[in-house]
Amino acid sequence: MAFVSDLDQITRAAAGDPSAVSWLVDRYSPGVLGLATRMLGDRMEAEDVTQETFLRAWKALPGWEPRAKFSTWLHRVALNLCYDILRKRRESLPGELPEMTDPELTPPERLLQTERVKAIETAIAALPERQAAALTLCALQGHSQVEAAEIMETSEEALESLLARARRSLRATLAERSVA
Amino acid sequence: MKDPRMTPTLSDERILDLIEAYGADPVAFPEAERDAAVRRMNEAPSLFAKALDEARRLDQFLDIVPETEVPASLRDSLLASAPKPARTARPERGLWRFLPGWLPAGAVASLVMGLMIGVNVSLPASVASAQTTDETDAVMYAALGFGDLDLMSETAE
Repeated sequence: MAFVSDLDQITRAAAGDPSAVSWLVDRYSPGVLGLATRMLGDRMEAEDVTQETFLRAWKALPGWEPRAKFSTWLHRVALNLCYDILRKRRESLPGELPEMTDPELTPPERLLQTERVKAIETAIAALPERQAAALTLCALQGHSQVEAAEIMETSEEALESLLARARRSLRATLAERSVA
Repeated sequence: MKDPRMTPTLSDERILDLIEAYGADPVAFPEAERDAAVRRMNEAPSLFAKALDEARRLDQFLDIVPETEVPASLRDSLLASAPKPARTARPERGLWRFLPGWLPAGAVASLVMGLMIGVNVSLPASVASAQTTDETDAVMYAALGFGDLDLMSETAE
């Protein structure tokens, strides 16, 4: 199969080539939706963020200059949209923290896989937003440190610190719930 | 294969930091430090066993989180919002862009019809005029004032 670069697809998608548009959507929408879902903990809002992210991408395509990877740019847009939503949530609900405790959670030996997934997703969504973003990008989506740092517009050292704190918090939360 | 002697050494503390941040799988470590970390972990496994065990448990937990599936409705919506193929329209410049699209075709048709009518009408006219050339010429000369010359010459004769 011939290698097709992002730039080829972007050029063709900008001209309205439906196959290139599909390629970009299929390649990148799961990552964007996944990131938004983990950040927001709300599927509907995450879908809205994904929609808005791609709308901005379509507008940017005609003048696209490959200074950054398309994937990095796209995730950065999605992440900033998530930050906006989270900020508005904080402003509308001063002092409230995201819901994260579920006292009725079943012990790990009786949990089904879906419940475990739900538990970890809830725990990730409850992390401070930058920690959640770092963990999602690196541990769940397999971005390299360099890519994740670019997406988050931070240094690799800062990213590492966020990751370490995220993993410590997650371990503590899951242990508290007797999940891990 | 990299020469291990060329790989910088890492402190044990630094390796513990890497495990804490990136988990138990060295593949996730920053590339520049990966080889040195693996070498040191193989040299002294007991130093890192506890940290690796804790990290591995969390890694396994994170591994069960499935990739997000994009629902068909969202995919359709993303595709619908994408750029559409450009129309293969001719470049529209000047005043033409303000005129309806059928106008150039109408103008060409009118021109062709006009030429055909012109040819059909002019042929009989030119044949008829050939028969009256002398009379027409006389009138033309007279109108231009040359008729007098003829009269004068006729009178002189």
